[in-house]
Amino acid sequence: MATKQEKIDAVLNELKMATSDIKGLGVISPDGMMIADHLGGDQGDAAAAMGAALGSLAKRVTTTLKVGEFQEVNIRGTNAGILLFDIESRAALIITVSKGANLGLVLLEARQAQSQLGQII
Amino acid sequence: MSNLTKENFIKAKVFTRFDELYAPLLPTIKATVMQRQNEITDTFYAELSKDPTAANIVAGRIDQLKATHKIWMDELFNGTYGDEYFERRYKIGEIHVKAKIAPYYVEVVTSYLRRAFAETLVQQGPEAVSAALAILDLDAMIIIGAYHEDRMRRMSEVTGMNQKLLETLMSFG
Ligand code: HEM
Repeated sequence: MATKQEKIDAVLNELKMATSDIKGLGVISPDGMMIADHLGGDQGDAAAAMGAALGSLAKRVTTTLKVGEFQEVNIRGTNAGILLFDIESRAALIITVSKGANLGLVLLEARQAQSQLGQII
Repeated sequence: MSNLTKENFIKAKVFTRFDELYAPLLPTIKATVMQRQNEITDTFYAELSKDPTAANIVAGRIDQLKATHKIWMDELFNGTYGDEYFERRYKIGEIHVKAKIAPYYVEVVTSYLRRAFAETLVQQGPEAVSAALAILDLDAMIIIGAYHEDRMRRMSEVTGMNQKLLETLMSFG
């Protein structure tokens, strides 16, 4: 039987394969620790901490401004984009996408992965 | 939550060899300090009352505060500085936090107390002065620790970030 880690990695691998617009991805804990790092590069620790900070703040903003449950954040930089998806308040899925990515497809695939990860974590 | 401050208190005692060097000395200098307790406490509140904001905070309850200050000073020289001591001192810190007294005031009056203790004990020699300053510093550390933990708790509340995450983020600073 596959371990939890293997199941998470499998979801991430499948998501990565879905579109070449996804450059890197990872699953992070609310403490800012990396649970699964498929981001590439050497910024895993910083990405985990920043991603967790983003998710926590986004959750706080959504409750304060009463817009329901926090689901996702979309950041657009001049060179690339970052997407963050909540996973049942227990973790977050962070994705980096290329400039000019087809966000429709990325979001569709990422939300599916978000729900799969929610079953695993 | 007093875990971080408690850890620091225990570490600081080890660092200064407090239990070995100073704790046994403190009861032996208690009488000298307590002889001047009224004067020290009166000056403490007189100094504090020179500042309009601080004066406002203590107005109308100086007699009651002087009484608790006496108990605080008496306990300072009791000779036992374990968990129970820590918890009592941390609670005093929390009371100041709840009363919204800026930590700046605690620091300036601690500075006054350091000088008052040193002047009182100078005749008894450097060990007596060191012991009194050592426990005063530990007390100040606990009170300031309560402020620090309150700020972290509030920061955590407003940002939604848990304290471990906040510490991690600060490590990138
Ligand atoms: C090293 C510095 C200080 C020490 C050792 C000290 C000591 C104490 C003690 C032992 C108490 C009683 C706590 C209890 O009820 O169990 C107390 C309460 C209080 N202190 Fe201080 N204090 C210090 C600094 C200050 C300063 C700087 C201010 C004001 C600017 C202040 C204002 C008060 C007030 C208003 C209370 C009553 C709070 C309440 O019951 O709501 N204290 N302090």
